[in-house]
Amino acid sequence: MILGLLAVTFASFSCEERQDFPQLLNVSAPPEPFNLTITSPAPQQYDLAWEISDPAAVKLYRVYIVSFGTAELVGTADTTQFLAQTILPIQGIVFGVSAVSTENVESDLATAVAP
Amino acid sequence: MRVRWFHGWIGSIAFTVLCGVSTASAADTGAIIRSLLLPGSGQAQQGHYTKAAIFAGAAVVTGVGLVLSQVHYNQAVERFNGLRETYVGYEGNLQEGTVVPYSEITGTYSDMQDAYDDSETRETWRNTFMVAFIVTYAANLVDVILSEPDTGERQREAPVGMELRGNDIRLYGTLHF
Repeated sequence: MILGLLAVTFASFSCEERQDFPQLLNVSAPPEPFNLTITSPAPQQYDLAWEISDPAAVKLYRVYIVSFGTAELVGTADTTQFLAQTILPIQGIVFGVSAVSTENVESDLATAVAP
Repeated sequence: MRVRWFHGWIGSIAFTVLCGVSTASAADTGAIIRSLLLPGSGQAQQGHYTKAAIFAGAAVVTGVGLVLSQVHYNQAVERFNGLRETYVGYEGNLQEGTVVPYSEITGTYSDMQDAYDDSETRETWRNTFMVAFIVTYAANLVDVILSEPDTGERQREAPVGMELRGNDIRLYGTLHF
């Protein structure tokens, strides 16, 4: 019993102290792109266009190819348009676009399937 | 705070034992030391087997509960501190120009809040077991100090008896602890 007490005492002293709960970070949600449309002017070429509610709050846009629940970054754009190219023709390719705010916070993806 | 707490109750137990040892007869000192090492064993030496079983059982239950709740509390604190470090780190990442998804920030905040609540719940359980253990231990020591050794004389009495008083018949029961 004494050994048990000592073990508990030792465990209590050696454990990590719980730190204070931190303050909420002063970041706001960036506007999310919407009305993402994809046209294919040529084989394996995809012209993406989208809209944004507050362009002034956006530093850049990120374009992804979404497959099997993961998003792979294709490129970035300063405007609400992007021309993507693939090496091989892919049926039903899904593109995603997010907005990155001036605070470097990224919005959720707006997705659309390429024709 | 925790250090003071431990010192406080260890000191209280030590004080109780020292007072008990100084006032007890030489024959009881062995029982006190036994109870100090293992709750209930001093009572067993004195012949109070029911009390010995109760104290030993309570000490084991509260002791095991204390150790387990302390382990769970440590795990919860470790998880909270890890999430806190990640969350606080976002501020530096954003200032350095690293892009962080908003959903990741809010998700981490939510997980951190859950982890904090969980650690508080586990801390309450740990403290409850701690108090229960201390109370058990202290009661065990106080009892063994105050109890007289059971000589067995009382056990020879019938648990239920009857006696005549004038024209009345008196029925009585005896309980042993």
